[in-house]
Amino acid sequence: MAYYLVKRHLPGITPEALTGAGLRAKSCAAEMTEEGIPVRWLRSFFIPETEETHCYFEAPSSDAVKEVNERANIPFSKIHEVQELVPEAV
Amino acid sequence: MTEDSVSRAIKTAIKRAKRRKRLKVTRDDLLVGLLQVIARFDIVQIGPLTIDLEEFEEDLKDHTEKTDKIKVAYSSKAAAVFEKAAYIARKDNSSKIELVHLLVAFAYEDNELMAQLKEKYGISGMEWRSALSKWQHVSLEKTEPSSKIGAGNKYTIEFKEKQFFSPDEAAEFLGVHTQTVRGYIRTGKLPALRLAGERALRIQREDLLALLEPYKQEET
Repeated sequence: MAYYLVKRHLPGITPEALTGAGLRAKSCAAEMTEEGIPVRWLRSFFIPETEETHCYFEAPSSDAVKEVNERANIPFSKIHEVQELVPEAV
Repeated sequence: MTEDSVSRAIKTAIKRAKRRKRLKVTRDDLLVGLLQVIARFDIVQIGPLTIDLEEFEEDLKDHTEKTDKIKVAYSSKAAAVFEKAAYIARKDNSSKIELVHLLVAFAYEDNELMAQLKEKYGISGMEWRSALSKWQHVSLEKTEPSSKIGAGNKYTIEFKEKQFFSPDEAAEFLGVHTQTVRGYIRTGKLPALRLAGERALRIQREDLLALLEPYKQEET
């Protein structure tokens, strides 16, 4: 399993739109997991200054991440595979 | 972890979309999912409203079939319902979108299945909403409009200081559709003023607040 970062530029987004998108991402990830592709939405950060959102997913491939975002109907600009670094591990 | 009712409702909605072999989870799918989760023996009881799912068998019944192969995505219209629900949840001071918020989000839908339900049972958006408020707590009072993130809550402050509202602003303030506000004005439920010699309407803050009454919890 790998970690992925999904970048989105969402100008003028409201907190409601973000929450709604979160619920859709969560449900679509659960749906895909049930279908045998284990995708998990880990967490997201919204950057007010640039109106960008960075969302982190755990998935077997970037295609799976792409699919979960398409199913949830959330636009994105880029998907990157990322390496995790946590304070506990250093 | 136990599955909450929202998750179950959404799951049912997705299943229904798959069963229809369509590629989109529509608003109707979502509504059916929500109703099925709260239904007992195919009867949905929301406040004084009793909806018989049998009557909508074609559309409302869920059949369990193997449809795992079909991949479905949310339609934009369904996505908009989530957004509306999130807005209602926030007004309700809830950090999460609950089932009742999603159901309230349908109150002003006049399309598809919701329109059929409204017609069949002769209910209006307001009735639907107030019926739900009796079914489970949902506030109709806290109606701070939302602002876009990073805009410094300018909108909220503007509303707080405002004395006169345009119909659009009044609608947002109350969390209802503009047409609803215009309807209230037409029927005299909401007093409005006209700018001298012009078409533009203004509504006083006090008159908007007077529209809201405290909700009394009933025994269930």
